[in-house]
Amino acid sequence: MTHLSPEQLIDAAEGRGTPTVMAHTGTCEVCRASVDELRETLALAHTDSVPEPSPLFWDHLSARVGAAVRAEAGNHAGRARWIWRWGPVSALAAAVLVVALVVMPRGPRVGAPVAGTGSSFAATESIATEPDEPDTVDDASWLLMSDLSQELTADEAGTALPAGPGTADQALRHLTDAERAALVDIIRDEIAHRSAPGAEPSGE
Amino acid sequence: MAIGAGEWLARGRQPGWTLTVVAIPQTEPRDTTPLDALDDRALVAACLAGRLEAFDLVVARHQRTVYQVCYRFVGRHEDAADLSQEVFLRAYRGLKRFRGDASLATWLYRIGVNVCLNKVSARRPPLSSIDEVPHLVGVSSDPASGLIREEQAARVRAAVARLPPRQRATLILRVYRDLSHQEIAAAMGTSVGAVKANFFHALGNLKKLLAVRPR
Repeated sequence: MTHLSPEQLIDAAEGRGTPTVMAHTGTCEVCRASVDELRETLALAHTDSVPEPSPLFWDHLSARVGAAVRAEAGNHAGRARWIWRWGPVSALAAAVLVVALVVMPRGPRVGAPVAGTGSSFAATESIATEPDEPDTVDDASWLLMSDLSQELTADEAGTALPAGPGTADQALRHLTDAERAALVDIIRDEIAHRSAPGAEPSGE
Repeated sequence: MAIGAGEWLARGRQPGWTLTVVAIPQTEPRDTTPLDALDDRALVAACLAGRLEAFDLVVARHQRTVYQVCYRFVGRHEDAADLSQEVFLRAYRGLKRFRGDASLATWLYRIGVNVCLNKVSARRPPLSSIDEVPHLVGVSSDPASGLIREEQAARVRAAVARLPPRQRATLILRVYRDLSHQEIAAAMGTSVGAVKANFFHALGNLKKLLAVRPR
């Protein structure tokens, strides 16, 4: 005879067994004994009760939890403020980094090694010996910003983006994450467009 | 014509267009419904809406049961208090994830079990031997029967505290919190069959532990 499984024994001990299970316990001595043992142990387990702490404990625990939660909320607000304050700057920095990464490998600079003869050592040496002069004509990011701004008159630019500390910060602060991502995409597209062979002069 | 920043970005740059940034202050009407009148789900919603005091009421309503679950797990008042605080703090952090398909109490038990399982897996608490449980005197009209009852309860408590963690969690939630097998399965991230098997083994082990009579 097949005895009941642990699951079926638990169901039987809790009085939730199917008719088949309950009928089995009526005929199988082994399973009936198991069910009786489980019921006895359950009854023993029910005799326990957690000792009641001091009545003052509950107020103490509430106060502890409240303080911890408020500290957590304060930290969260602090983090949120930090993100609002520095998040746009970080996004701008990331965009600038993307520009730099895309632009840097392109457009040979003055003093760069001649193809076929150069080496990493030669490149390092030539960069080190050349004066650190900004080459705005070859700088795709500069060209991009120049192109974007040339459509604006001075008055329009002043109206649209009044100069002042934190203006860019404020502008970005009101963009959603999706809008900010779209802005980064636009910048990337512009850079990709300019970097495409034959599309725009890239200083070569 | 004024358009939003998203649309401005979507349309791309157009000749003659300018981007003007206007800060629009956002003020939301604050709900002033008395918190005492709210049920648990409404309290959670109020808390998520920024009424931090709503969470105080959540704590007040559930701290006793959360503490009891933790106490049964670790068997020490100080540890149970620390774990209870941890449970509520985690609940606060994850309040957005409370979907309301289970009761708030069940959700808190779920967090409590996870916190306790992590705790006992990180450091096994010192457990008193079943034979060395202190004789606790309870309030009873009959001191002798009260003494026996308390001693028996202490022995059961010590035996429960010696069960393997998952068996212990299953037994605590089933016997002392009356959660269904389905609720326990959800709380412990397992199947109903595994819960019943755990419960079966927990009761078997409890019986063996309690069979050891004090010398």
